[in-house]
Amino acid sequence: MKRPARLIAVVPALWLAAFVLVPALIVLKISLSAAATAQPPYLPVLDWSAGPVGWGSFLEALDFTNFETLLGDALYRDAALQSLWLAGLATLILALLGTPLAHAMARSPARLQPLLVALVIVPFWTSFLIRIYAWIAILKPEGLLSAALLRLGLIDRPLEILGTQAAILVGLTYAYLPFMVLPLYAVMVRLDPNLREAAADLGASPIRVFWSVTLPLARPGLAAGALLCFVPMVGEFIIPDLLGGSDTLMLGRVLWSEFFSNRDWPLASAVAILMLALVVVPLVLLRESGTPDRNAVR
Amino acid sequence: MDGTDPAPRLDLEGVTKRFGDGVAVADVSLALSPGEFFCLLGPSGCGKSTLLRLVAGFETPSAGLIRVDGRDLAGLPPHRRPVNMMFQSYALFPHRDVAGNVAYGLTNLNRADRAGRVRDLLARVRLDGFGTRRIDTLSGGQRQRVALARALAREPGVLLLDEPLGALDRGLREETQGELRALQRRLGITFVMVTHAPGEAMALADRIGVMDRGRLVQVGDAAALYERPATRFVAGLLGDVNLIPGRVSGRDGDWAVVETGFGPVRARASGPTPGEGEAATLVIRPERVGLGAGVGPAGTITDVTFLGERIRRQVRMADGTLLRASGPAGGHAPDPHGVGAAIRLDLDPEACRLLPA
Repeated sequence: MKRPARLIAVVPALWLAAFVLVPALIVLKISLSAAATAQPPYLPVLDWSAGPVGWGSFLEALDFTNFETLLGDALYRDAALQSLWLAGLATLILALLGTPLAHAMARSPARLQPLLVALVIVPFWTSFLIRIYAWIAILKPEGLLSAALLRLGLIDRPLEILGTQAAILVGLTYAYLPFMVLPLYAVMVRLDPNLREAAADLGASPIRVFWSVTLPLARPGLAAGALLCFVPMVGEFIIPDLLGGSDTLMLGRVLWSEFFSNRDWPLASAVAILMLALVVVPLVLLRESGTPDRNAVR
Repeated sequence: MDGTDPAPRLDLEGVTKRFGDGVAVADVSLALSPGEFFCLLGPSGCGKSTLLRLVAGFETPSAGLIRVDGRDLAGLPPHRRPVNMMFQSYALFPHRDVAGNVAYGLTNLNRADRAGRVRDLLARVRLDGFGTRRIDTLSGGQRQRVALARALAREPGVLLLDEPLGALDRGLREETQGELRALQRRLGITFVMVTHAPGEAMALADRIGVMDRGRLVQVGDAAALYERPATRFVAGLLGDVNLIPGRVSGRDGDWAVVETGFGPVRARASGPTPGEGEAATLVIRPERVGLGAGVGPAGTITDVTFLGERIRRQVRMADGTLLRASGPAGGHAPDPHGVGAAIRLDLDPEACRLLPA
């Protein structure tokens, strides 16, 4: 790499170090402190002036009880499993919805496509919080959905969706759909249309064309979309808090209540570190399988 | 062709394709025999690729009929048509290896038969042993052959080839021309090849159809198109030509006398050509312009270009008209037709043709 290029890379590197790496290390340190329901400082305190001996005793004094608590307590384990389960299920639903949507967008007339992309992005113009509140109005027993279905005679008593896992899935699917559709669309729109035509020409039905040509070549987009959805959904707080019931514990909510209700920052930090570990693993796996195939794209 | 032609393999009748206000293909009718090698020749945008896509089923004709072996293809989607296409970009599947590409259309065979068929096809295009290679490790020429093998895999009655040699470099193109021709003869499949290169069309095709702005302007073998072009466009497309403006001063059946700026010239006039008194174009190939000392129109040689096996001379006629004459090089030393030499043209009436202005 030439020198100017290296210099350019320094800026984002500094940014990431200052606003991601350092805070993450601080959180890691707090997670290894003795549990305390109060404000900082948390013990042990790292004294940079103490010299190697002082640093050694600091390391010895680090406390792993928070992680032991987390791993030993069924509450946290269930919250983690439930977060992974709901995020995984929502990612699957998003893939099933987003793939045909992106496919249809990529195949619509070129002059319509900017409009379609804009329509996918339009929800971002309204506050996320307000949009999720709107879902409460839709999903509650006396809400729009129940009223509509009752009027149509499809159900005979109001739906009990709000406060269930189904409501969380609806919210996750709704909120994260753009993050699945956009990367998929970006890959699909650049696929050479001649590839689909060649497949059809060789006798493949439209369904076989999709499964044997379009989908395999769109895999990098699917991987990116799954990553963009799954990772933040595992730690999602607002949607389970507003749409989920009291019985649905997701990590985001646990994290929030440890920080703000129990005010146990060390334990809350341990939850944050655990969550990071949970999402880093699938991230690495997807990176391995999702290496973009440059030939797929013109 | 004689009068006992077999039933046409591919039959187009009044095929028209409109896009919005424009007409890409205008009223094209054409009948191709089994085993014929046909070239659609024309500049880019003349509608030749669209015509190919209409036959393959990627576009729907606005009017007209397309039949293969008498069967109307209207309404049949591409995957149900008894034709296959080789794409200009080759459109090879990057996520499948060479064998996977060639085998893509062979869904009607079991695994063992399919593997055998793929081996045969790869051998046919001289790619034995390339089955497990990734597409992105192949050279341009190898990709071209994979695309050809894949398109031939289903043994189509008609193979459509869209500029199959366009992406190859010059040397490889000429070598591949010979192979393509030999393969087509051996398989007896009707080839419809789109090209913008006249040399390629003349070297490969049994018959050539010249397209200009959506219309099929002339169909014939290479010699017929070269010697008896129907329009100035066809005349210019197939090689260097002298186009001399004039007026018809006399007609006598298939013969006409054209009054040009440098005097009257006798010319062949067959087909729909201008009548007496009308403006016309006199067409003559440079190699048919003879230089002599007889009684023909007088001119002066203004330029001589040595091209190796041929010498091209520019002749300025009395009225300023510039003509090109070309003849075999060598034989005369010193050259009697050097720059400045006064000559007289020797124009064979058989080589001069009358066309609309």
